[in-house]
Amino acid sequence: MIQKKVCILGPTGVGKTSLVKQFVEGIFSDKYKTTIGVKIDKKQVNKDGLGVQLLIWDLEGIDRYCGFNPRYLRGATAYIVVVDQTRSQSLLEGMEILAMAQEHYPDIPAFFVVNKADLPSSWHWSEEEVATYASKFKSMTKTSAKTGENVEDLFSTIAFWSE
Amino acid sequence: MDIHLLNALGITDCAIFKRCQSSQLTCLTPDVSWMRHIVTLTEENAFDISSSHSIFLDDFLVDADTIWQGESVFTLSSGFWTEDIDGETLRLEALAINNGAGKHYLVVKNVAEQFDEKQKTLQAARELLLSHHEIVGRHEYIRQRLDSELHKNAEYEALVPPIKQTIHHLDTGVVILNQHGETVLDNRSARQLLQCNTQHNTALRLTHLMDDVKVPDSFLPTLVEKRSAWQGELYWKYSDDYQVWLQVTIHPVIHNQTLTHWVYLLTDISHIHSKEESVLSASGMDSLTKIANRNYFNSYVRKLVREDVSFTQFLFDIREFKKINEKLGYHSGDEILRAFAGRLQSAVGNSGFIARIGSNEFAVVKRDDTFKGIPPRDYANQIKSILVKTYTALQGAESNLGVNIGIANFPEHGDNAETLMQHADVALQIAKYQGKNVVLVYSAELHKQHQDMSEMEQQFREAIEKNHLSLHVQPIVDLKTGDIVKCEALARWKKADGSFVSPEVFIPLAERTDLIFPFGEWLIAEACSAIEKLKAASLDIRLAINISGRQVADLALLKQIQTALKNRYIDPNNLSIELTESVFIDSLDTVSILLNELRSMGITISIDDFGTGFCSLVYLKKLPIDELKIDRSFVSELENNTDDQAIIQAILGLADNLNINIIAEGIENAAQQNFLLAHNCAFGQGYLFERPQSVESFIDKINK
Repeated sequence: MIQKKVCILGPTGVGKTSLVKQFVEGIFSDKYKTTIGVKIDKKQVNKDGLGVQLLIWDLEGIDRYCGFNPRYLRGATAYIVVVDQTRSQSLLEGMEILAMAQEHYPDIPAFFVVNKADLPSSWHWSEEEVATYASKFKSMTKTSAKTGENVEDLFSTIAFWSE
Repeated sequence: MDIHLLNALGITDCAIFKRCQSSQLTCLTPDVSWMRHIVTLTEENAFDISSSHSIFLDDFLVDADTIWQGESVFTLSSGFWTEDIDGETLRLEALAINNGAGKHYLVVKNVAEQFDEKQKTLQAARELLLSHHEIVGRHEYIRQRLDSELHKNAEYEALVPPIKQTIHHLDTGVVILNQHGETVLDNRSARQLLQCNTQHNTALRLTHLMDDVKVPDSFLPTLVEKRSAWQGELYWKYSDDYQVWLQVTIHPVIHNQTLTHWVYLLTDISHIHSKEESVLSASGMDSLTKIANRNYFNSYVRKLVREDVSFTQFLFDIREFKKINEKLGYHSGDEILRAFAGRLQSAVGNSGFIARIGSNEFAVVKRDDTFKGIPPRDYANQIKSILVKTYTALQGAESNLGVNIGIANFPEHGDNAETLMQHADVALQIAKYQGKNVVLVYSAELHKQHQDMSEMEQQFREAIEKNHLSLHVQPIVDLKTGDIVKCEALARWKKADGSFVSPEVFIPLAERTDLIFPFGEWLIAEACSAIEKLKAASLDIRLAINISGRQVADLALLKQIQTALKNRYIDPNNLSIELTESVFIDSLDTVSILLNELRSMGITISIDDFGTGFCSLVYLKKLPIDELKIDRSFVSELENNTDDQAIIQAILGLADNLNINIIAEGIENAAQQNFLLAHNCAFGQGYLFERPQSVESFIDKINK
């Protein structure tokens, strides 16, 4: 079976691990537990009789305590930059992370995820501004790790993505 | 000690593999129980890589192979990872080791305990970080909403109910003032936070708050002028029973170019501050700037050295930060340090590691492969230009911040963390000695210079303590009559071997170190003693002493002079002080206070080396200056240099208009004297009249 490595990047506390947990185990916990280092999970995704095994590398949130380590992206078929729509600062941080990832791996497709869609947005950016940020990615998906909204679709899209 | 024993004792918990010539990995610790979850061993304890069960380890072996194929000593860490294998959750870290002598190892450590410890610390730190982000985000949201509502320009009566309803239940304290500073609306949270009662409403309490944290009058008008909001943290000690850290937003609402309202948002963040310090310290962070602290920095550098990665270390020193604290207050000083760290972080980005390693010292470490061809010195200059831009703090702006930078490279300038730090510091110390905003890369010449300076500093310290300095005097004469009008006191240093050290060497040395203060005390005491000797010989002559910029910035100097004169019953009219122009640039306010006090006592004031600095004419007019001393560099070639002639004529004209006397220094021949006399320069000093000499020989000469 085809295996594809997908890295999950983003600032601290945006819900990267919750997205993976929702996708892999179908569960959600409100309690925040910070990731240390890298956590690896696997899940098979099927479509039209084809199966792809995703090797999901959930990376520690990038912040003042943890820098960006480009080594983890090696061999990835895609990476996701997750931001939190209840925290406007996370969008700017997410864009910085994208820039760093693209600097090292300009050819790996990047996917934009705006998480916590079940909560009201507190962003003060207009739709156009967000669209400008989103245009730097292959796609933008609004997800909720809590309700599962768009989570399966996101990983399915990435698993079967072709240019 | 044997690794099996260490594992058995629980001191370590790791699996070790030795890589042989054929690139095969042989396990030296086949009995480690958890290892079977990640690798399968052959009967000969060889690691069958094709049968690895760990996705992460497979990936790491690519990097490990690069390390093993290299020739240098190197240890590469994978960082912590978590993997569920065979239903077991494993927390691991792998190390690829090359000992440089042909021995290569792979070590896989079970880090379950360290993982839990690290997670506990970072969990607390990140919860605080998120909670603070949330407060800042909430302020931003409310600020925008209120700004939009207040911009609707509706009638006051129509405007109030919807806003009142919006802010009523908010946890965030909200106060809206009109343009006159009177409360229009507030909520319960604000009234509680500001300790309001029937006599003190929120407007009044905000005034108390701003006064208590010493916000200058210019702050709010500046926000209006810039049309921008201010957001930051304030510590408010309202009373012994009520002290609080507040997250504060101050927002001017401007409509049709006119200020209509002020919006104040307040949130109690004391709980974040109280927890933050211990959490940050435990995680290696500096509690003020939230960047790495010195310990963390040292361990980071040691790690890079162990990994044998070539990198460059930069040390940054904020020049004379004490003065900024004194000028703007410690609160603003902290604000500037935080902003400094923020700018450094932004400038360096993720390609380097930054830390605060001292009260006003910062450090950056950057791997050499991240410079993109820019020489480290140019890189430091680029960062410096960002760091020296004006800082705006609550109690005022600092536009004159100086930053010196010392640079050392690993392995070029040191093969271990300690040596590297010492060498970067040598470069920094010489940079500080050379002046402001100097960037230097460590070199053997700098090292020699530093050693010489340290040695000289020690000798000079001893010379002051053991009174090996002596005082000479040089007369200042009336150029027409040749009469002595006063003398300048000059320190001389004769070393134990009989050689003299020039004042041009030891005075800058004293100014660079704190030795200027004991030296200044010595000079004042010796000058008083010389005045006594002159008096005893019936010579009523005023004696001038030189005071450095650093002494002048310290108001203790005034007390020292007063005490010395009083203890020896010396008339202040017998003393004069000479200052260089540079003292006005850095500390005009303090200098102004000091000079007025000295002048009121009867002490006269001269500006030494006039024409070589950047003295504003405004200072000459505003400050109580009696004399200007034209620097010897303009006099030495006076008879042949028309430029010097023009400069001297200009200074003489200026002094005449301001009613200030002029003394020309360094007069060595009659032609110079004649030119000066012809242009109405009244006084002079130089070898033509007298060389500097001991007080005793001066008295003898006069009495003859």
